[in-house]
Amino acid sequence: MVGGVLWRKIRREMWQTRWLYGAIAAMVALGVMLFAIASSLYRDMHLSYTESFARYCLEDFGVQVRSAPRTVVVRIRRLPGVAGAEGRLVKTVAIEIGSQNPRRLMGRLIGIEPGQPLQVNQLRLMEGRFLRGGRDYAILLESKFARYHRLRPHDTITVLWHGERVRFTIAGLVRSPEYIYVIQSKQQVLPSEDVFGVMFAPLEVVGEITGQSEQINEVRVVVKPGFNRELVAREVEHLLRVYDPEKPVMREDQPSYFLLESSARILRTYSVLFPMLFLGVSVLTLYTLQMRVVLQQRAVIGLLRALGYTRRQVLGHYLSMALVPGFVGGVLGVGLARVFRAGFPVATWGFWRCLWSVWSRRWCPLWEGCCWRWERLLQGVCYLRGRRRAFPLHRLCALRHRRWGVC
Amino acid sequence: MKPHPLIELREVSKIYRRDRFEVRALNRVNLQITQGEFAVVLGPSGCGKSTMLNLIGGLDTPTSGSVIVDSEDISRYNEAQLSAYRRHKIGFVFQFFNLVPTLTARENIELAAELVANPRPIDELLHAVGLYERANHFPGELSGGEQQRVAIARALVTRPPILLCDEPTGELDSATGKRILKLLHTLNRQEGQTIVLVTHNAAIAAMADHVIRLRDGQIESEVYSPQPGEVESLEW
Repeated sequence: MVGGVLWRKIRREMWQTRWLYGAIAAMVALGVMLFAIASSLYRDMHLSYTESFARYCLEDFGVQVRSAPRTVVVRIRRLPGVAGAEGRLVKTVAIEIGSQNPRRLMGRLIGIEPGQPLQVNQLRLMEGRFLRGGRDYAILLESKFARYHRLRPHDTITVLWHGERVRFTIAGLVRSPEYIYVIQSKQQVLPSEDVFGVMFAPLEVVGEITGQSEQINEVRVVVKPGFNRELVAREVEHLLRVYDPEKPVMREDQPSYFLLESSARILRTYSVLFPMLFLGVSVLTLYTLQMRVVLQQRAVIGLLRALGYTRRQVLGHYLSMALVPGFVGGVLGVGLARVFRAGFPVATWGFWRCLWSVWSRRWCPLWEGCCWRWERLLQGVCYLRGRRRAFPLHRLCALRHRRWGVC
Repeated sequence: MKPHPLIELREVSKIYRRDRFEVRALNRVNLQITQGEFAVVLGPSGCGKSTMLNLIGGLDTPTSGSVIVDSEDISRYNEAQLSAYRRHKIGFVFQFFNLVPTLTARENIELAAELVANPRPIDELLHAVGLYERANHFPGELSGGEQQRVAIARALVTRPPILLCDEPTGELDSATGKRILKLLHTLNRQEGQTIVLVTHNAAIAAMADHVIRLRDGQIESEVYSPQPGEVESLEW
């Protein structure tokens, strides 16, 4: 053990180089804080979207067909293992927004059963009202697209289908677990809510416009817990075989979910990489500093050995000098993490207030820019490893003449 | 009858090897130092004086032969035993004082005192070396002579039976050097402290009970002085 006098020595020597040791402690604190925050952020994010997907019944898989009667959904719902199924008529259309200088954009018009809660991919109404049954030429517009183009309920959107122009009134703004990221396909890397809008309209109306009344071209299914999703998907595919089905698209391959999972994976990676960067730098700095201290104090080390301090005691003394900033930084980091974590309680926000607010509403450009630069920087950074080195100074050094320089 | 030796070197050789070169620092040395003796080891640089001191102090081990201290063969000790040996039986005084610059005079003495169960009272030692008033000064605030007196107090605080001094006056002017020698002489005469002092200053031999002259790793001559001179009579 290191005695009281040696602690006094440590204290005074560290005070002499307090800015350097302070900087190291700050680096350790940053590393620990980032690790604590990033890992809890990842954990909360994962928990949040897992629970929310369950609450809003995100599909387990979907099957596209050329065209099938809407009554086939009833048969699918009866299949063993199927917790819920929705038949939809989905068309990619051109749309025009604005009355003075209309802008032409791409859209996805999704025909759904109005007037009843959806069994799969339930919508959350942000503003306005839900669809009414019958031939209501109203749509529910995905809220991020609406916000981007400053569209509100009661505004109109014109859908162009085979040369015909059909005018819809926006009934409400919604969010869907299926479109956390508004992207057209999996091939797209970035969300495209500025040029691509998702609209939900009554199935009957979409069928009438597209000439596919009482028809659907897509089935989305939620599987009961305990059932094998692949087997259920195969059953559904088999049932739809006469309607020329495509291969079922599992949830993992669903574009938005895929992008979300990728983001979560990146966050998880960064939750390790960021702290490693800071901790690695602090370890290297501490290592360099300690090596310099040991070199400077060779005579003191020799003296301690000559006085009768054991090798372990001397090693403990110099390791203590390294451990102090590590310990202080660690404690500080945990404290800071608690403070900052309290200001960013992701888990308590819940899915809709957390996930979407992060990616849209409260994602300020400055913060986004900073993060983007950090991402770029981190791409070039890999593990830094410090290594410990023993203090192999011979005890004779204390007695030897300094000018010899043999120790 | 000759008293039982406190320190005995039997056929001690020390060879330093580095790469293909071999330096024979000590060559089959035989020596006996008795309890309460003031022994001075004289010789030119590189003759093996410090090596001999290191072997007696347990800082190094001989290549061959035995170093027997208080009837124990310390050349067979392991690391832990050597640490304990240095702690309890040896007090070192170095040429360059080797005080820890970030500790005060008192704390430098405490550094050694912490290692033993029953150290000498530090205030008493500070009084003895005339530095009680300077106890809370850092080494940088003390003169060379004062620093060496702190080093002597540090060496004595563990009540060691043997005091090993390596050129204790080497960095001091003659007046200060004499004061240090006087202090060591007093310790030897009044407290019966066994002192082995290594120096290349032949003038110091006049105050020794036992003068050992080394040359090329071997003892050239040994002289016992029944009536050594006083420190005041030394001139260099």
